[in-house]
Order: sequence, then C-alpha cells, then structure tokens
Amino acid sequence: MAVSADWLRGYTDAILLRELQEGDSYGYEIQKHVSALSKGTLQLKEATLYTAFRRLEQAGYISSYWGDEMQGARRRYYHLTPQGEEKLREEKAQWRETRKTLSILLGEDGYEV
Amino acid sequence: MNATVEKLVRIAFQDLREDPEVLEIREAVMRDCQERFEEMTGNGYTEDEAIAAIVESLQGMEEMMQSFQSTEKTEEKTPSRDEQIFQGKKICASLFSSDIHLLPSEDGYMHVHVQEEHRDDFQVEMDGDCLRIQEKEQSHAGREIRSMLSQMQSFSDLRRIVNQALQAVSSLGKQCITVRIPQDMETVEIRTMAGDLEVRQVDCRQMQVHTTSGDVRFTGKNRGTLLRLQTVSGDMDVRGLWQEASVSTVSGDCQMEGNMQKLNMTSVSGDLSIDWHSVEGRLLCKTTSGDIDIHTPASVNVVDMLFHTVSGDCTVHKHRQENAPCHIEARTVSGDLKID
Repeated sequence: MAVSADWLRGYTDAILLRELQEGDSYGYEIQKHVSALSKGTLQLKEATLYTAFRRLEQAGYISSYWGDEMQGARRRYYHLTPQGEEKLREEKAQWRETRKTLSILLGEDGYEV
Repeated sequence: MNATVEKLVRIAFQDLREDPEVLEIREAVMRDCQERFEEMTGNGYTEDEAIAAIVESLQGMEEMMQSFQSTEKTEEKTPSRDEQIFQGKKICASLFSSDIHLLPSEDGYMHVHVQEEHRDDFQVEMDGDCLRIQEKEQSHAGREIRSMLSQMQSFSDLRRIVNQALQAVSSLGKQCITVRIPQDMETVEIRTMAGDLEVRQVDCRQMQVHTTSGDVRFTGKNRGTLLRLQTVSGDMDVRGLWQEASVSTVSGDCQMEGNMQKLNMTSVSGDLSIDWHSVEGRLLCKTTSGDIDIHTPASVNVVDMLFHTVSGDCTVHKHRQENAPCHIEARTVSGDLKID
C-alpha cells in the first residue's frame, strides 16, 4: 500500500533535520537520499526543499555555506546547529506521541487507552 | 553546463525579485539540476527524460515566491547587519566582475548591501555627497591565483596551476552588490567589466553606464533627464522615460522601450529594437550590420523619416511627411530596417 506523499510532506522540516544529523549535505544529495529511503514515495521538489531550508535557517536550526567548486554553479551546503539537534529531538518526541495517540484511536493492537 | 537546464532554472526564477538571497538560491538550484541531469544521462536516461525530471522538480516555485514575498516588507524595513546607510545624491560604482542592482528605497537613504562572504572585495565610502563603491581588481579570483602560484614548487606544476587559474577566473561574477537608492537621485555613474547591471524603478536626473561584457537591464518605471549607456558586447534591455538618451554598443543587442524625446542609438553588429512611445521627438539609429526595428505608437501616422541601407531590406508601414513632429533617421550598411 502506498504511503501518502502529502502526509509525509508535512514532516519535511523534521526529515531535513534528520538528514543533516548524518552530516552536512546539499539539495540534490538530500533529494536523492530521501527518495531512496522512502522508496520513491517522497520526491522533494526544489521549491519545497529551499523554502524549508530558508525557514530552518531563519529559525537558527541550520546554517549554510558555499562549496568550493571551481567551475559553474556552486553547491550550497547545509549544517545542523545545536538548536537544530534540540529541535529534532522535540520533533521525534512529538512524532512518538502522535503515533501512540493515532494507534489508540485506530484500535491498533498493543495500544490501549 | 547544459544550456537547457540553465534556461529552465532561469525561467523558474524569473518572477522572483532578484535580490542576493534569491540569486544564491538560484545558483544552488542550478547546481542541483545540473547534477541531476549529468547523473541521469550518465545512467542511461535520455536527455529528454532528464529534462522532464528537472521540469517536474522545478514545479511549484510560486509557493517559494509566496513565502518569500510575505516576509519581504518586514525584511526591507530592517537593515541587515551587513547593510550600510548613506545620505547623498550621487553614486559612482566601479566594478570588475560583480553584478550590481539598483533598487528603490522607501526611507530616503541609500543602502548598500554586500554579501558578507565578499565584503573584503569591495570598498564602500562616502566622499562628500557621493557614495563610491569600488571592487578591488580581480579580488576573488586574484587571491586564489596568487595563492596557487605561491604554492608552485617547480615548472612542472605550471600547467596544473594555469588550469586551476582558468577555472578560478571562470568562477568570477558570483559576487553581488545591492544599492537601494532614494527617489530624488542626481547622478549615477556605473562602470563594470563583466558584471551585469539591474535597475528597477529609479528616478535619477543623470545616469551613465559603461560595461564591457555585462548586460544592462532596466525594469519597472524608470525616469530621468539624461541617460547614457555604453556596452561592448553586453546586451541591453531598457525601459523608462527620459528627456534624452544615448545608447551605444559594439556587438550587444539593444532593446529600448519608453518615452524619450531625443534618442540616439548606435551599434556595429548588435540589433537595435525600439518600442518608442513618444508622439514627437527625434530618434537616430545607426548600425553597420545590425538590424533596426522601430515600433511607434498607433496614433502616429506620419513621420519625418530618413531610412538608408546598402544591402539590407527596408520595410516601412508609416507615411512620410517632412517636418512631422516625429523625426526618425535610421542608417545601416547591411542590416535590415523596419518601421511600423
């Protein structure tokens, strides 16, 4: 059964923070990795990606710097800040809570009120 | 860089205001798309399939535009930490490879914005009531080349150093300077070598621009008394209202649109295209091989015109009448002439 891409897209910020927890990265590398991990379900478009980068950078969760490519356009690398680490912990805790509540509401085995 | 990919990215960003932040994102997106294209074509996909994937990935830029523009006003009211404010009536900028943008300021000050990472490349100072902006020659690439040469151990390294130096030079033009200027500017003088100039909604009594290969673009409602533009190979796309304007280029194409009582245009091989809104005035155009295309208002039926071409075609859709208020003179050697 296919997972809803729209539903996943609601978690773009958290997904990007998690990607950067693995190390500094740039737009296309993250797009590829997210697509591979989600088995092609979540294809982040450039607009979604860079709007999220901008939002996260303005909030202080990530910082950015230019790569030192000598030819053509340069890569913009993104880096997770300590505030970003903290935000990711919060997002994960919130996700666990959401999953638990939803599982109870949907009557999943192993979850009780 | 694949030209189609570059064009697609430029189109995707064309409705976004071109400030340093947007230009930076455009560059990063350009890199992403280029990498996607190279990887897909390297993995057996056709160029058409790679382009289709890029088009898909670039959809939804309006979403980005909305999120940018919703914060635009508050951002403009608060000068950033790297923005300097000056009071004055004159700007003199002399740039090497950097692009420069002149944008309107609502608070009556000239603001100069230089990207933090390139701050050392510029000298910005107030000289009397003149704001002087100077780019240190070959600043960015020059430093890299000097550093490479200092590391050279033997002449066998020379080839590698020269290649790296050429790559460094090809990375020129990444810097960008933004000047927000007040409504009542007296004089603006700008010289650039490879940098492009963008002017938006500027009201300036006298404006003089000289570029070597940089393109010149005026958007919005620009106005003034005197405009002088010169390029060697840079293209010009200029809109506005001036009492007197003169434009010259060697090989750049030039597109003018607006109301100019007196307009002089010359080119060697560049094409000249004029959408002249004036119902009276004097327009002189001269090229060697470039075409001349003149469009006048529909209400102007008679024109005092003189067209001359040696080997080009001549198409005239207006009536000629001596001493008509609209005087147009166009001369070319091998270019085509057209007036409607």
